[in-house]
Amino acid sequence: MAVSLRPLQRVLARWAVRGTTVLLVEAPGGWAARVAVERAMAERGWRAASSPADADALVVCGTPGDGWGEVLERTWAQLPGPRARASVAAPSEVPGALEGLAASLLDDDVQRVDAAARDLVPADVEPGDDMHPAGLELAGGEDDLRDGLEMDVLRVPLGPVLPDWPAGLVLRTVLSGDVVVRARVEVLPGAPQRQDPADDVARRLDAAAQVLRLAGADDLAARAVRLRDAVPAPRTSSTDRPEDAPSPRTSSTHRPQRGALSGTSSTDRREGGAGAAQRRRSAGDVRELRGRVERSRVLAWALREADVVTSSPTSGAESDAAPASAPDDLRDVGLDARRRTRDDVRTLLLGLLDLDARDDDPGRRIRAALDALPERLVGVDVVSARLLVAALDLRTDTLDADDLAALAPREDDSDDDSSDDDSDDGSDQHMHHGHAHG
Amino acid sequence: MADAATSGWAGLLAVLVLGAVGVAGAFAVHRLTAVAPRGLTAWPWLSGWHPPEHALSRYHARWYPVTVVFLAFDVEMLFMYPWVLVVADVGVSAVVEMFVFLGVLLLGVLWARREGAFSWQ
Amino acid sequence: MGEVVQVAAPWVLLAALLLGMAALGVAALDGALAARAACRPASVGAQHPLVETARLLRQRRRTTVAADTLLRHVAVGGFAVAPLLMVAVVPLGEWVLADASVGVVWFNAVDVLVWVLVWLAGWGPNAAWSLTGGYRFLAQAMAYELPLMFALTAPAVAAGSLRVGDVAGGQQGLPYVVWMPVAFLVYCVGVLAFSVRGPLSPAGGPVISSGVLAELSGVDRLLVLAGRAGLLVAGAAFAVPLFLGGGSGPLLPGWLWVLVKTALLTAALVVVRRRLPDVRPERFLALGWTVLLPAALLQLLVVSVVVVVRS
Repeated sequence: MAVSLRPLQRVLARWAVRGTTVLLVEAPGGWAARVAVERAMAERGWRAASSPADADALVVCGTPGDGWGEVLERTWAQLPGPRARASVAAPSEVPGALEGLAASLLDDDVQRVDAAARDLVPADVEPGDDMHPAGLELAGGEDDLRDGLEMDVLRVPLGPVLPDWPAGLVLRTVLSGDVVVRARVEVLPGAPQRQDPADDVARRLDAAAQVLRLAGADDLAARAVRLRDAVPAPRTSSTDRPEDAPSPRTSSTHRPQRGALSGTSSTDRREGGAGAAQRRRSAGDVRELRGRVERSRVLAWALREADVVTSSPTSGAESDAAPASAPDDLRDVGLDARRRTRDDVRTLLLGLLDLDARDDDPGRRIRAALDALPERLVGVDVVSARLLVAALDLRTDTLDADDLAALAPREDDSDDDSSDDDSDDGSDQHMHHGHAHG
Repeated sequence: MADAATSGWAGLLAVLVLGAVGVAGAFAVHRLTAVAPRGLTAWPWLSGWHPPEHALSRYHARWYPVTVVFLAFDVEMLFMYPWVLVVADVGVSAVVEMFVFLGVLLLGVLWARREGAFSWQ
Repeated sequence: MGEVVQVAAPWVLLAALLLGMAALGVAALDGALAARAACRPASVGAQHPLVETARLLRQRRRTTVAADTLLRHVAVGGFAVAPLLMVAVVPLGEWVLADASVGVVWFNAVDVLVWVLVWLAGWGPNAAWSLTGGYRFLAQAMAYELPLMFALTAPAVAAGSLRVGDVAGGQQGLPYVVWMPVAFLVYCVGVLAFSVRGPLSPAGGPVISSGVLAELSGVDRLLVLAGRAGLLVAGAAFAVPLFLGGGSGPLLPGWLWVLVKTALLTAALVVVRRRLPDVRPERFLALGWTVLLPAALLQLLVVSVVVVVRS
């Protein structure tokens, strides 16, 4: 019986692989690799997966550092199968990696063997009891919530495996309903990668595309992606450099400035007329996109944050989170909790698309943004939170070693989360947290 | 007339049954076409982390004031459908009575709006 | 216009086939539009539904730890059956699967059933994103449902009947959309909202990681995706007898007119929902109660007055 179905299954496999869905995971420093993967995916007609259950393939972009192992294994175990995985440390590895994925997914025999070998139930599921079904705590309440209703809160970490999310960022939120009542920022590191200021415009367009995608403005997002991929590269090709031998910086005249596309940058002299013309055209396209975003009233309406009133303003940021608000001179207008407006996401989005804006010290800006984020997100619903994080263009690869040490994941996070409520949860599931795959 | 009404329901029942059969058929076909007939159990996805607790919980719905206003209107729909059938026969008084009633409910909506029920808290 | 005849139960298969093809058409149009936006060949995008169907038929099913299995299955199966229950009362020319005397109320009941299905799909997997999606959908539902209900009653008042065939027959020469455009627009907003996709999809947008869909794979996902495309088609199909004159039209036979009108309205809805960004339920809530509801009531008042004057 099963034998006679083989031809049908092969046909299905051939068709299925044409629409492979890929769960993209970006480690800090993996930006160029991720963009290269996205381009190659588009050429094949593949699409990004929205969750592990939706994914056929797991692609890790960049080089994950400490703390990533368990996260990736857990995610890998959540793919339903057929499944395949690949690591792409640099753009040059992309064609081979995707070819390998396609071959593996197409091979019905390999996939059936893999499927048969898997545990039907995760090994770390416990029998549990009434108060701990499957060995997991029941959600608990918190006293000090907005209107004193006795409702439960959920601890929901956002990132690092989350589409359209900054590389390696982990936002450990406590949600009451869909509203953030507490948040803490951590960053899972990646292998340090040389910063290329020439990527700045492309990176900003990429961030804008993420915001637009999250907002459901698919056509505008597609436009931003196309502009991102069309940013004229000052080098031979920004996506083709071999990973082991970073090409010498031919563009040493580049200053880290945001005006790279504005037609006045110093590269023009070197590149000659054709390049300059292309750059001007590209800059014009970006302006046009910005104009469309700026004019769209529906988009402004959709991006506006809800007025969420917290009855307990002090229950917000954790005591040890930096109480700092963003300095005035930074672009991160969205982060000052005292001066926040409901249009912060839109303002930031327009800032991303403004080629004349400058960001001379992204590392400092991003560190300040990460410090201010927990306080800013209190009382914000999870949808606004994701839009805001995307709009902040948090380039975690600009953080230096000290920043990363300060933002490293903490082992005792679960105890910490419950430190200011009266319940004593956390101790039991803490075990799962750290050693689920031990 | 009663006969026609019954046959209408019989038709709906047939649709329901055949729909259910169709769903069962889809599951049966999938057992043959999937790489493995038996489903997996996985931990719920939480960005790569182990869930610290069950997600099923007493969820804080921010819009519960709206549910009360909604309920008032929704119950009103019970009167609405019978009313639809008699508007033409009863005439002006049917329209006046219904819309005075709806007007009172709308006043309630205005009040709820003033109280901020439609902005989430 | 003749009487509507109720056909035998086996014709459900034809209805399911038509509905399935239309659902594929919705996904194909969606895919083609997306491909065009990305400057890729539209023909490749249009293959998306077939490719995705093959992929999901091959993909393994998956549930989650401590999931509510029964409720999860009810949701998945319900998504596939609900559109069929809606079109069951829509006359295809002179034939209908179920000639219920309260067809309009039946449609209303099924569209409220969608609430249940979405919420169950959110509750079932025991996962934070799904749960959030389910609850956010309820918030939106409270904004669109009442305007939708009143929009449904306007044509019924004009026809003096809740039988869908009578409503279609009541608009000889002048489709109701002409003199109740507000009700039609409000109805279309309702259809966009209960088809769980596009601007009014707080249950499954990218910003909550596809919410109620987040933990679905294989045939479960396929049925829900097909079901939500089917809901859009069923909503458009129901608008035909209600607002667009049913099977009336020149040259073509009635059943073909119904199909043509359904296809056109479905395509229009697909195009519209692609052009709009996702609207959050908290924004939509205020809009629904302060704009859509009064507008629908005003429309109903106008229709009732016309009916009373006319009789």
